Amino acid sequence: MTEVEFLDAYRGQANSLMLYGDFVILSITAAIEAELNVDISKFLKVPLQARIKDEASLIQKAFYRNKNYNDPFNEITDKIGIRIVVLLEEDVHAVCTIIERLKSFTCSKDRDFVTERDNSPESFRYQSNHYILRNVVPLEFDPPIEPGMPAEVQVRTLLQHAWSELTHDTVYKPNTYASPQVQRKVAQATAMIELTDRIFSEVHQSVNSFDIAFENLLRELEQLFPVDIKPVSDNVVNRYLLDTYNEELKTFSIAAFKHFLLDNRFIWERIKARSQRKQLFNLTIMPLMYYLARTKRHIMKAKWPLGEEDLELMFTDLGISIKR
Amino acid sequence: MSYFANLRIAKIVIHEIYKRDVNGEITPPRYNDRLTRLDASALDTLQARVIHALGDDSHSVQMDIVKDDISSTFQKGTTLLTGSEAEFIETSKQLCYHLAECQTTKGIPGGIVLIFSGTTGGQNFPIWAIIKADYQEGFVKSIEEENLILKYITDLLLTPQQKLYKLAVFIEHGQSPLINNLRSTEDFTVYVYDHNMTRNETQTAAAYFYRDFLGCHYSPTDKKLTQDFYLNTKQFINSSNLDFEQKNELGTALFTYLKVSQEQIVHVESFADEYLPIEEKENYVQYMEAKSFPAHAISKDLTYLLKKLRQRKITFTNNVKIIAPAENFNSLVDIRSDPENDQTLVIIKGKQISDK
Repeated sequence: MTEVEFLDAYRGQANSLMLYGDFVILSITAAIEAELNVDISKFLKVPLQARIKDEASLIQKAFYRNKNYNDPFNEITDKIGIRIVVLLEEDVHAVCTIIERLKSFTCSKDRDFVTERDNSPESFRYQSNHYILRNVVPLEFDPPIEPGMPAEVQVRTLLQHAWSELTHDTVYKPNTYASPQVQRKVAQATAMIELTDRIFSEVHQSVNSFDIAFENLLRELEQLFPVDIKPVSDNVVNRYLLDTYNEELKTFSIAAFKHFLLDNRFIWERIKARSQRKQLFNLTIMPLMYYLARTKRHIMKAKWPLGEEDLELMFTDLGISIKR
Repeated sequence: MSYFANLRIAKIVIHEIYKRDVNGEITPPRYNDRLTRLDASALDTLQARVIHALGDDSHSVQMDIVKDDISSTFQKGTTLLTGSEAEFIETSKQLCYHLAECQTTKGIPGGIVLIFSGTTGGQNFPIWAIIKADYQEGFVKSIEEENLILKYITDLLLTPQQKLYKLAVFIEHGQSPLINNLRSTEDFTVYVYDHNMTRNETQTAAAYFYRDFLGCHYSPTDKKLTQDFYLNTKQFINSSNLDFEQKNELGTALFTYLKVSQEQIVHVESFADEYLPIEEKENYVQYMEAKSFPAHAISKDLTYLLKKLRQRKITFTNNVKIIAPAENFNSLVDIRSDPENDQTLVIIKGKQISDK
């Protein structure tokens, strides 16, 4: 096949390849949404787009880079490329598992950065997971896509993505030679990114454990509301207030709190009446704020992060003079 | 639980009273024949003012009712709790006139008299209250020909400036049988706030409101409570985790607060604010609460403490005692701990004159 024949064949397929790329994307995103229960637009840090290899680099790869293809047109596996960029390493693992289980494609792992890392622990290099997906059934595009059409899917963290954006053309696909100094710097950056990704995961995990405790507390508080008041839990101010009084709540006893509510039943009526005019009083966290105002009024006052008038309403309801 | 939690204001009426005229005669008050209706935000603000002045941590003082005859403010006030709307308005007019009568000197300004009834506390005790609000001067903005201008006004009322209103609330927590058709003062608790009551030099100015008009007097238990305040606070200081120097300083502070200061009230919250480090405030307030010491103000009465406040007695671990005049204690004796050597350095700024 000459370069001209090769290009003709490629151009003839271009339209179907685009559609095929979209098909791969749809299959992956649908699976992610279904299995991870996430908002895909927030989960993916770079919008998903199928990329058709541009003609110049395709020709270069097929004919000039000593790759020794017998049938370059069918052997080149990255005519369609898709990058999935997520925040954390654990997200990468989750997406990889989903891709490996896709029913409409066979899947082979081209590169696995964990394996690569384990195999050469002393070096810091390009990190990404590469899959080659191939459709199982023919697709009725024009021209049709026969089973086995390769599409390359890369799965990376946001940091790995930044790294490869920087180094993509200059270091790992060089026709020009990269200097030892540049290579050294890149190795340093790679090491740092690996470490940073790990720290990101740790941060995420500790925040996550607080999230779980917070969600549990909200559920517990919701249970305490009388039936005629509907607490609002999905407002970030709940979290903000809880975070503000994190320290004071370390010694929090739900039993003492329930006791307080029994002694001060009128608080529910106040919350109900006040929430007609102020959204704040709808929040699930508010009975707890009343409790803090009663039991730790100095700290409550000193740390209150919202408007003074809202705090004043609570203090007034509890019969405490806020200013003198 | 606080008496002032869950305050709910139900009926409100306002009247206007005036300064005595040039001849010292009462100018008849301007009465209202209708209840005053406030929208929810205005009601919130009125409640906030009442709580600021009377609630826990406020400078209000619990008083004893002494005048309880048929024409007293106390007896008249009780009918505000049970009568019809018309009776409520009628009684409020009588109370308003009585206040005008009590304002015997020409120096006492006019103002608005606001009387309300309602309930308070988790058990919804019936209450009635009277507020005498002086007028204030101030500005309001307005727009004239698209320009922002300030308008000077002289009849602002009930701003957060507490000096300019006095109020009293009567809380009904009992229903003992009538005696000669009169209610028993035992059934009620009264709290009064008047800025004049909190300072020694304005005690006389305060008397017309709490004594002549309300028929109240400082509670004789104030002697006991002032003493309790001293003893409990002392105990708190000694049992706290503060270091020796801080404890010593707080001892001096307690003396100053009770003996030297011209404040006419004793108040846990004020003492905490003024003298305690932030990390001990909450502990102190809770400690006093646990000792059932009131969160509102107590009229300062040092009768039981005179001897105690004259001298300070410091005891050391080896039973050595130092007795010194409490006044200017720090300039007479300098006490420094030396924990490393398990000893205390004492410098007495005077010469020995005797050895008994």
